[in-house]
Amino acid sequence: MRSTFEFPFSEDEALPTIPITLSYANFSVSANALLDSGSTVNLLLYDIGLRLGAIWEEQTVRLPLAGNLARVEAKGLFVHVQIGNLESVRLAFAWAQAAHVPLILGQTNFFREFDVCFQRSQRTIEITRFH
Amino acid sequence: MSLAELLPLVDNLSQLDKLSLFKLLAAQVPDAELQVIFSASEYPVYSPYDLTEAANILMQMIRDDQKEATHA
Repeated sequence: MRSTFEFPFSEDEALPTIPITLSYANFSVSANALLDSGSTVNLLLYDIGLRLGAIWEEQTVRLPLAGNLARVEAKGLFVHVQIGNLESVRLAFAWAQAAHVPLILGQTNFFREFDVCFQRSQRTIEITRFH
Repeated sequence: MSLAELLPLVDNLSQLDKLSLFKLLAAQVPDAELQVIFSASEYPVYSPYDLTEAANILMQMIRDDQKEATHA
């Protein structure tokens, strides 16, 4: 079965971001996420993880980061993500102790779960999930 | 009390109380850190394209989770 949701891709936006709702335990947080097909992983900001009620010390999977994030500590965290009216999906994030980075939806595992069509000339972003 | 429990309470405060709380918190943050937060009109965009090891570990985490779900 195929479900699709379409977001506007505003002329004013330099990069493709979409509004998503993250849920973990009993908390939900709404945020704009960058659709970054060049990112190896999904990246969750430390602050958002805390607002979701996640406890840093309880996360046991440590993730080594590299490049300009090399000094940043990160841990694996599963979070439910709701995109438009599509069925909520559990995604694995690198929960990073960084403040000035965007919330990123990357190859592992957002782009494994969703197909994304950037239609910049039509000013739309189409997100499809097959299940 | 955790930050997650505190935030809904903060949302319910009046604008005046939020401002008072902001001043109170700002007084507890070193000036240098505040300057970094408020002086930046642009933030660098990180595109972590080279986190292969982290991606492999996350994939293993997903596979382990799927195995657990199958056996549950």
